[in-house]
Amino acid sequence: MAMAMTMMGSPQTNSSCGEETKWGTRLLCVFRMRYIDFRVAEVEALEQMACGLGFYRENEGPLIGKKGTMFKWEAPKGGEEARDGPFWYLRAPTREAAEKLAAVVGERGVLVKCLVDLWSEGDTLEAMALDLRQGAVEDAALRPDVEDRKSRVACFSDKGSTFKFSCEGFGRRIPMQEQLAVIDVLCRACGHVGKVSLKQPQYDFYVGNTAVSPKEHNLPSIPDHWYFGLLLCRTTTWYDAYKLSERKYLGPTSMDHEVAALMANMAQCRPGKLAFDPYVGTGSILVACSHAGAMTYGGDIDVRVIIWGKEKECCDVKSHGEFVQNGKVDVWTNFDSYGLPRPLGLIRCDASSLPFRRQAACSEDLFDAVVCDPPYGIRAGGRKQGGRQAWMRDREVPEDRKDSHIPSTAAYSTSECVVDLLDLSARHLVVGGRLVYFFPSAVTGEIPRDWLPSHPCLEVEHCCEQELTMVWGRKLVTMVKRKPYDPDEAGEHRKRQLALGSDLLKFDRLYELVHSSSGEKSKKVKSYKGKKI
Amino acid sequence: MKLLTHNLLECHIKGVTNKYPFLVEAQQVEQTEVDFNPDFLRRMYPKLDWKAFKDTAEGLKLEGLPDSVTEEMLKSDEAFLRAFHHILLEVDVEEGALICPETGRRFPIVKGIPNLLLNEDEC
Repeated sequence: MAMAMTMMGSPQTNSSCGEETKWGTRLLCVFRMRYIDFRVAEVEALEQMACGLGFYRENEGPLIGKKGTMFKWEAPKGGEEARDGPFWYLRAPTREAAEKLAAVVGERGVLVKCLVDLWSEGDTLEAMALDLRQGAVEDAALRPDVEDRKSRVACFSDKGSTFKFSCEGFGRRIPMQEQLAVIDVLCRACGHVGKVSLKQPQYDFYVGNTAVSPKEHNLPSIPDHWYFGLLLCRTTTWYDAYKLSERKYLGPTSMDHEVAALMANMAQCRPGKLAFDPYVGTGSILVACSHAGAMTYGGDIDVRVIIWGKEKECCDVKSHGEFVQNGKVDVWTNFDSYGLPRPLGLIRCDASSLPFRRQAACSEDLFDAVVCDPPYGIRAGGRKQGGRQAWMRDREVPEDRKDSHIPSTAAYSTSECVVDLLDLSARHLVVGGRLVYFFPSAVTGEIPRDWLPSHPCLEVEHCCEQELTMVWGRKLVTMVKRKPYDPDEAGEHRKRQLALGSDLLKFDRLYELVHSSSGEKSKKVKSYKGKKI
Repeated sequence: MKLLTHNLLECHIKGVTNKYPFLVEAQQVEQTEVDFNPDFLRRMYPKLDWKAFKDTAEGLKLEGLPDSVTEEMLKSDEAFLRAFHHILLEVDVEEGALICPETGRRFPIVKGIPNLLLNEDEC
């Protein structure tokens, strides 16, 4: 019975002659319960930055021949709902790759809580202890040559070492008495003797457990299970330093600091890279890109956000207790107050016709990433140059008024806005560069839920959905430029996308469509927050 | 506005053929420190029009740029890279204007941000 449990609990440690065993290290990826749909994508984006090995996908044919070269997700235990829980398995090709990934995730991960080198697991604490004893300890001692056992052998043979345990329950806090009992059972099982050091332990162990009835807490329902392993990295909430509530210069649609950090990760911003936001606003996305070390450029058509700034009256900036005496704040203030490098340039310009030089040598391959939240007219409407009325385009501004003339702007529809965005990204990104942007999603009968705008040069890499209300949501789309820009091909594609009757044009009537399809509104809402978190 | 930005921009008024480079009218120039990153310079160099860059720099009384750049200089000439870095990224035109070489249209620079938005009849 115990043996059967062990087999169930951890197939890879017991079937030591199976092919699976040779495939590197089995990790446990513990996620935060936020932005559920974005979590896997973030790790994949960070992995490409850290190792660039890629992830194996089931639909890419058999695994044979790819072992040891790629990462692989293994869905968590339990049904469909468990996929929204915190514990996922991640198979790393080598120990070295796992450590590289952990270094990057630990430094800048947003939705990952920690990565654990998984040693044993079980449906009860006793089963896990037995699994550890039989699988990890004895097997590891017998076969120290297998990649994922090296660290265990090192740990068990290191008698005078220091260690620390952290016990975490999903949906509950494990009481101290129980934690001590758990530690005792596990130490006995692996025969580990060492000194406790909470500050700088040589071995930082992790125990995870899902022993609650999560339904009560509005959480996904996940079967009871225990996990034990060596902690590879643990993230902090470093992005809280950029909380909007403490930011000096804000607009009504400033991007949330956590999502901005996530976008910078999806865009793989890092030192030496150049990121561009064509709708920069108050610079909230560029703050995150700049934190990640990228050089930044911003453009915006609205003079109010990028030049004038706000007059702040003697205000108390919360936790710092700092006073700004009738000072003016503007988009530069945000960068200065965080001690981040200012953007290389901000330009007041129109995203529909960017004023960059058109010579291919200059304008192509300019940016490594385009990161933005375009104005779709849901919270803020887009504007483009060209005059509010058509007749304005035929009249020249009188000479004496040229200096003070403020050009009026024309309405800018969602469809045009997104076509322009994809086109400017296809033109200005380096091949392999990434476009990261939000696109509205809504429950309507007219547009398929998974429909996305396309471009011949760009390929969708990730699409993560966040539900905002019963009918509205948004998708964070990551696209990668795969081939050089061809103006003719792009022009043709643009025409097709904006032709009468195309799916994209329906987005211009999104509000109307959403509120007319009343039949869809009564869709089943999950009992926990799901994608809405 | 840094000289890098200036070098990347052109006038896009409808029908204008001689659109590059903008003339720079500087009323206030400031210097800000930017982290030195030679790889970034090497990456941006092919995007630049060197003659326009050097001419504009000289117009702002910034000396020290060579007439042409060799690969060797980009690779290992520290003194050159420092000068290149300083003029490209650390000089900011805070107030002034960009002037279209053909039509003479002034695009104002306010608080370091050039306003390249066109009037209704220009686009």
